[in-house]
Amino acid sequence: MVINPGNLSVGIVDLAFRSISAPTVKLTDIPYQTSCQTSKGLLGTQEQQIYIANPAATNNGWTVTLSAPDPSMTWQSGKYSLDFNDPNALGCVDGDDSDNHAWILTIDPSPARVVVGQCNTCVTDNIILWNSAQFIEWKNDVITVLSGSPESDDIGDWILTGIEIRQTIPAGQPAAWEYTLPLSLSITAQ
Amino acid sequence: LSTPLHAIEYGGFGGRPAYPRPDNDRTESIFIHTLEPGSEKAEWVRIINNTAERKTLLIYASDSTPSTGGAFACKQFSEEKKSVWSWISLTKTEVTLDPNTNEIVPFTIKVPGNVSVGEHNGCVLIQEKKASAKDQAGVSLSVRTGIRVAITIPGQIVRKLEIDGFSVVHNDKNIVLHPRVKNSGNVSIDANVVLTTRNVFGFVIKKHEGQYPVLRDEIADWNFELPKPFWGGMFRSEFVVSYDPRPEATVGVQDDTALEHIRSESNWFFTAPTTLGLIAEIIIVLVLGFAGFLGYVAQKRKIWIRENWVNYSVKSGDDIRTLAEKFDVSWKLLAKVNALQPPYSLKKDQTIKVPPKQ
Repeated sequence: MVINPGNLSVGIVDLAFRSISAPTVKLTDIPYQTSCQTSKGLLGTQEQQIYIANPAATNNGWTVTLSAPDPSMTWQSGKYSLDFNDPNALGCVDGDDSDNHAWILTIDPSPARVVVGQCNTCVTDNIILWNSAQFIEWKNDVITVLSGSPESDDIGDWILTGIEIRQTIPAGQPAAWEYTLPLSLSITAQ
Repeated sequence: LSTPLHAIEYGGFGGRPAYPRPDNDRTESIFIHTLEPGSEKAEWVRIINNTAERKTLLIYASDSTPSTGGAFACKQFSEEKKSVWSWISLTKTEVTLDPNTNEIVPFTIKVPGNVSVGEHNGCVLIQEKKASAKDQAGVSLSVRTGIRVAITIPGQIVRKLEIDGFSVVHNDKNIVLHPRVKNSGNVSIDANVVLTTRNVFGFVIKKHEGQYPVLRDEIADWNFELPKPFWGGMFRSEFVVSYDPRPEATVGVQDDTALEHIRSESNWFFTAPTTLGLIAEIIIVLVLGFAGFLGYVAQKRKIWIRENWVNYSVKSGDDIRTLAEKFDVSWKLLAKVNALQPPYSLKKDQTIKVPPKQ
């Protein structure tokens, strides 16, 4: 019997470990407000689990990161353009970057949960959830969400759920936009 | 080159170096080369589909970028090509693979003649080809696997690490220790980190150890979780970073006998106990307090007896029970004060201590 070589990978799968063809994270609708608000969503749910597999014995550690296709891009919603990485830390007022929009997207892996996938003998030791971080144009363009240190299982698989995503919405913005932001979830051996 | 093969138990799609070098284990997962300016190197990446579906996978190169915490990450396809990205020429930009098959894709790395000495990093990335999800609201996700390409240009190689700081962050569930190390050299360095946490008595309660790459010109900011100590209290953490400072060392190759050690200052911190620990501490304090109170009462009674009980000469017909009733005291206390042993018999004219008459 010939075994296909394994490879380090990250994917979005359902409970039966089948790939989800078009994974998305819905953010809560915020009605029109006169103050700055925060819309929230969860990356990694029971129906859309983040699945990390290392059957290739990548033994010097790996990192899972989130990034947008281009730091200078914006959320698009009809005629509106919205930022996701404004340098103004509060995201309520436009900061000094390449666009004229406020808005800021925060990725918070700290409340997330990591469990072992299909490998019964594996453990979650040395699989590390990272702290909350905001996208900041040209500064924090790639956010680390999870890493496996060299001491983690050399061969194993893990499921990650419950990364909190928070998007600030400045005051006076129309409600319930159908906005979309593409993000890439990447895994890289160190 | 696509070969139908049997499935492994689990896996997704991605890739790895097709021909790792036997002298460096790290080449099983990343591409590592030392190349002269102006030189060209042939390489091969194995593209793998271990999913249950037939997939069309995009293959492209990118430059590297540090992610938060200083870890290695890959830039996006749409970003400006500056370094290793522009040196890589792939013979294919996409492959379609049946489930549990793989294909080897050749590529070349052509180093410009005017490149600076030191390490330059890039990526070869594998991403599923999909139509963009325009009709979906929220965050649409794509996934990709990046394979690091580390190219070292020989010359005046500087390998130097410095301690940049050490902070402690307290969360609800745990404590996160953040050692920070700065790479002021011109190549990435594999740093062996040992972070030790001791309690106030000097006993080690947790040791974190590992080897972590610190990219050139970057500050690595690692997260080490310390479970909240059950009893809480004062703790001291410090870390030691060991690395090979010799210019000939490279990614995956270092001489363990030539390591240089740099040590952080101690970081003292206080942490409250866990909820269970707090309850246990309260119970212990209450028990000790009550025991102390009982001890105090017993001591006071002992002193009072010594100062106030009087001598009594045993008469004919007295025994310990009748005397206990007569002086309204327990016979056990009477026996104890007078050091009487079983069967507690008394002799006529024997002098014993008794409570004063009311």
